[in-house]
Amino acid sequence: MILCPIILEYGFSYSLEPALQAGFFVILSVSLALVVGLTGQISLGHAAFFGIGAYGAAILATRGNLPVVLAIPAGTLVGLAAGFLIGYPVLRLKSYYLALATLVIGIAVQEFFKAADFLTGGEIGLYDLPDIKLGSFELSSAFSHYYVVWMFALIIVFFCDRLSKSFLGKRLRAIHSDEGAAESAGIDVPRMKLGIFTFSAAIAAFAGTLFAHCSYGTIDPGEFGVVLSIKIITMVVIGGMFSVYGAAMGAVIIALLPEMIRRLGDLAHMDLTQITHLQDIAFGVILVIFVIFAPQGLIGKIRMSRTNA
Amino acid sequence: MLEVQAVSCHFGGLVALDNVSLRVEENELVGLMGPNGAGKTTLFNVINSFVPFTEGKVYLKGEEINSLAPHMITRKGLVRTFQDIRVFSWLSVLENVEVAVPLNRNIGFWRGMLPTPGARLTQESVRQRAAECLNLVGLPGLSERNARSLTFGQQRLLGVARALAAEPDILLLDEPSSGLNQEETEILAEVIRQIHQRNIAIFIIEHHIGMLMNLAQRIIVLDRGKKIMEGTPAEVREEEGVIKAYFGEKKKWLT
Repeated sequence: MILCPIILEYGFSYSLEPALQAGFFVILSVSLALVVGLTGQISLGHAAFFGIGAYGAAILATRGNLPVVLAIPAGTLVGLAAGFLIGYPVLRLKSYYLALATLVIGIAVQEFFKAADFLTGGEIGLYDLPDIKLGSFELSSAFSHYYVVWMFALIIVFFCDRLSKSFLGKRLRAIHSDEGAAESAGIDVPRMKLGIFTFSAAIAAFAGTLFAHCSYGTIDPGEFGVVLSIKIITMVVIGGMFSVYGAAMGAVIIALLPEMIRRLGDLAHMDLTQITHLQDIAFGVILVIFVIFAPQGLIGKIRMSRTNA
Repeated sequence: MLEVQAVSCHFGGLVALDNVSLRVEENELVGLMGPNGAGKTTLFNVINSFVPFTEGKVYLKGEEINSLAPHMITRKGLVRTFQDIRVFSWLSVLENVEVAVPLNRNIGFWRGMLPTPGARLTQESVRQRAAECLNLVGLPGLSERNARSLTFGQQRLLGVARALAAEPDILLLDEPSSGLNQEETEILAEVIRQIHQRNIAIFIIEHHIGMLMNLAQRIIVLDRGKKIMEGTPAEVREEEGVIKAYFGEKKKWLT
C-alpha cells in the first residue's frame, strides 16, 4: 500500500488517479456496507451524502473562510445531520419503498447542487479549492493526497470491521434477518437503523470533504449522481454483504477495472470510444456474473471453498 | 402479572377480538385454545404491541403497556415466540440467543469499535448466559452452526432459548408444538415444564390438546374473537361449547 504509488508512478508510468479514486471508493463502499450489507436497508442515494460532505466543506472553506482542517470536520457534521434528518422519515419504509425513496432523495440532492448557484456554483461547481494545510506545510502533491486518503480509508475499514463483528453488529444482522423478531428480542429497531444510517452518512460525507480538499480541488454536481450510488452498492454486493473487508475489496476492483480494461484495449489497438463501451460492458457482465454465481460475494465464496475443502 | 382488560380489535369490518378480558397470575401456566381464526395470535400481537387495538387496556405487573413499543415490552419482562419461528437466519445459533441477552446492549457504538477490557468481560458473560439458555432447551454443541441449518424442531427450541435469554417474567408461546413430531413434542413439553419451574409465568397457545391438558393449570378458550370459557383442564374437557367450537357437532372426535 505504501510502495504502490511509487511503483505505479515510476515503474509503469501510470497515473495515480485510479489508486486515489480507489481510496474514496473504499470509504464509500465500507460505509454503505454497514447499512445495506449488515442491516439490510437498501439505500440508493449514498452519493448524496458524499456530495453533501464535499459541498459542505468546500463552501465553508471558500465562502466561510474556514481553515480546511476545520472545514473537514464541519462538512462531516453537515453530512451527519443530513443523514439523521433524511433517515428519520425514510427508514420507516421497507425494501423497495426504501430503495425508491433514497433514490429520489439522491436525485433531489444532486438537483439542488445544480440549482443553488449562489452556494454551489451550479452546473460548473466549485474549483480552486484549498488543500489541507498543517501549519506552513501544504498537502498539495498527488502523493500526499494518496497517502492521506488511504490512511483514513484503512482506519475506517479497521473500525467498521470491528463494529460489524461486535454485538452491535450482531444486533444489526438480527434486524437484517427479521425486524419483528428483533423487536421481540428487545432490540430497539428504529433507533438502531437510524443510528447506523446516520453514522454511514457521516463517513460518506467525510469522504466527500477529502474529495473536495485532498484531490483535484474541483467538485461539480455530475460527480454525485445516481450512477455513483449504484456503483457503490455494486462494490458492496461484489465484496460480500456482511464483510467490511469484502466491501473494501469490491471497491478496489470497481475502481481499477476501467484502467485494466483500458490497458487491454490498448493492446488490442482499440480506439477510445471502443474502450469506453468495453468498460461499460465489463461492468455489467461482472455484476451479472456475481449476482448469478456468487450472490454471497467474493468473501463469501472464499469462505465457502474453505469450509468445503 | 399480565392483565388484559376488555380488549377489542377490528381489522376493517372484521372483528378479530371482541371485548376479551383475562389475567395470568405470577408463575402461572395458562393455556389459550380455540379453532383456527379464533384470534389467538392476534391476542398475542395485541399484547406485545405488534398490532394496534381499538379498545381496552393491557397491564404488565400493574403498569399499562398499551402505548409501549414492542422492544420496551420485552425489556419490561414480557417476551413472546412466534408460530412461524422466525430465527435470525443471518446469525449463528449462539448469536441468535446472544442478541436477546439484555446485557449485550451494553455494547454500543464506541465499545463496539474499541474492545476495552470491560467490553470483553461483558462479551464473555453474554456468551455464557446464551450458552446456558441453549443448554436449558437441549441444544448444546450446535453454537457455531448457522441457525437455518437446524432442523425445524431445533429451530423451534432455538426460538424458545432466544425468548428465554431476554429474561422474561412471563413468556408467551405461540403454538410451540406445531410442525413437531411426537418425540420433539415431548422434549418441548419437558422444556416448558423446566422454564415454568424457574418461576416464569407462561401463557401458551396450543393446538396439541393432550399436551395442553397436561401442562396448563388453567385454560382459556377463544372462539371468533370472544372468550367463551375459562377453567381447569378438567372443566374445559367437559364443556359442551368448547367441543362445539372445536369440532362442530361431531363429539366423537374428542374421545
